Amino acid sequence: MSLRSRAPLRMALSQTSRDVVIKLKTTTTARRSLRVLAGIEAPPRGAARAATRGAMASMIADGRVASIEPLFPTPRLRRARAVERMVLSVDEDVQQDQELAGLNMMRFDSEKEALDACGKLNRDATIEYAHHPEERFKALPKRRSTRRRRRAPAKVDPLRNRQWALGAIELAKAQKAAGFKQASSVVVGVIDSGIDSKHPDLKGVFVDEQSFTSGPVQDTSGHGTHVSGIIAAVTNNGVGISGTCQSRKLISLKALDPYSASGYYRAIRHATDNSVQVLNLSLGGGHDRTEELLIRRALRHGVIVVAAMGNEGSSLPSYPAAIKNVISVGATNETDGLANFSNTGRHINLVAPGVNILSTVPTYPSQLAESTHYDSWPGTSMATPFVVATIALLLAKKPGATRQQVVRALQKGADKVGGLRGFSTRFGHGRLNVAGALAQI
Amino acid sequence: MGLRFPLPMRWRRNPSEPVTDPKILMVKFARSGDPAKQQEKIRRLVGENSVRNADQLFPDDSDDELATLFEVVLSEGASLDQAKASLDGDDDVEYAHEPVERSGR
Repeated sequence: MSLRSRAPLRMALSQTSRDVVIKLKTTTTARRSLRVLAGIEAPPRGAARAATRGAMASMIADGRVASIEPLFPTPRLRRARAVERMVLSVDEDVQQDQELAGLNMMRFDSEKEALDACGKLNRDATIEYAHHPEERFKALPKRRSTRRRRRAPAKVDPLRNRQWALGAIELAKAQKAAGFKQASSVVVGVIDSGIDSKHPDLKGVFVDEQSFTSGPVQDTSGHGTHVSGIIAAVTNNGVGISGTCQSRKLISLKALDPYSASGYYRAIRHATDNSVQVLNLSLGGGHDRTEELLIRRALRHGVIVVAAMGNEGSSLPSYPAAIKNVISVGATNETDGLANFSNTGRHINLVAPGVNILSTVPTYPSQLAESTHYDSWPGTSMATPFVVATIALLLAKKPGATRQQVVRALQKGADKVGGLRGFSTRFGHGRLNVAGALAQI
Repeated sequence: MGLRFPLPMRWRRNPSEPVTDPKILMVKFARSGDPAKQQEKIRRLVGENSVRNADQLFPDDSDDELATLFEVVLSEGASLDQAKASLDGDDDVEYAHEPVERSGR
């Protein structure tokens, strides 16, 4: 059977899923068979007839093959007819590069046909192998278009308009300012009650979660999940709320609920020894010498430690907030007044929104939340993560910034609220302003 | 959702209330030494029958500051104040204290 009399092969189709790569055999017998198939040589007797009865021959004869092209055509081959090109390419390739000899691309009408053909071609006596190249082609990096691509519109977080605090601290203004960088690679440690790692607004946020208590990693009270959401809930994902910074390297260290003193100490050491850059401590109580020892060690290792002032409405110090060089945070309300529960004292650094703060809570019922997924809470615990997130943004803008530089930026950039001039034991150096702080570094 | 009383007031027992059950003391030696001997010293000072466990808090740490920390769990009926006084009175002991509970604020 000769293909000379058959209609020319149809125009090649563009989709690689319809392609099959074949490698023709380069043995003398196989090459002769192929020349017969192409009508270049007279029909043989004996073994060389195999090609004319093989799968490839019948596919071509039935018009099932849309095109056949050598993978590495030479100028001489481009002038030949399709089937001739394929056959002649074997001879040419053999002379130049044995490894590439006989490589051709066959194109079919559909992916299904291509896949069916693969199996049959692999049984053809003239073909060394045949395979479907789709996956390999997809794995190649996409070439960048020189034309400017349109970005898909960001999905607005539906509860964003209830996050009054983000407006107060001028997060949007900060994000538009020159030099703003998201804090995606800043490592933030949260020692708290754990997290709900399955929360849809915290997906991909945590790189490590460990329990230092006798309980599971899971957050049973909801406190740690709330704090974490304020720091890094995923923004513009069309779900829930927006986080203050977009750190994707949060480390959740569970030491509360149930509280374990030795677990808490171990959590501080873990944070110190595992590259945590800024540590959120939305917790407190009386003075504890071992805690102080570990916090001082953390500070010496360059960890920036931020703690809640406490919620007793008292001027008695709460620890670790009152430990020297710990950044201590009080709480304000929607009108920039001091929250009536916020502790005061000479060790206070600044205040941040801490009343009616909407954030993530576990997706399952938890001890402190009145609902699942999202809830609004008050507390200096809620003010602290706003400062922590701002420090992460400062470190993203200026990697390697020292604690002193960070404290100076926070304090100088703060808004003077409540008739504040300079420093007060109630407001510290003022209410957090993200844009103001970033402008200072 | 909505404004509620700050969490700790309804959640915590007492801001400065020490952890009392089981009775635990954190002990720090002033200088590094053989942990086994330091453990033995704790037992001797407090009284063998009054100590349930005396373990290094960070047994894997070679840092002197951390390697000299012990968590001492007292036996049922042992006096915490008495144990603390015995430990505090020794020159090798830098401090002994009850851990103070931490809670979310």
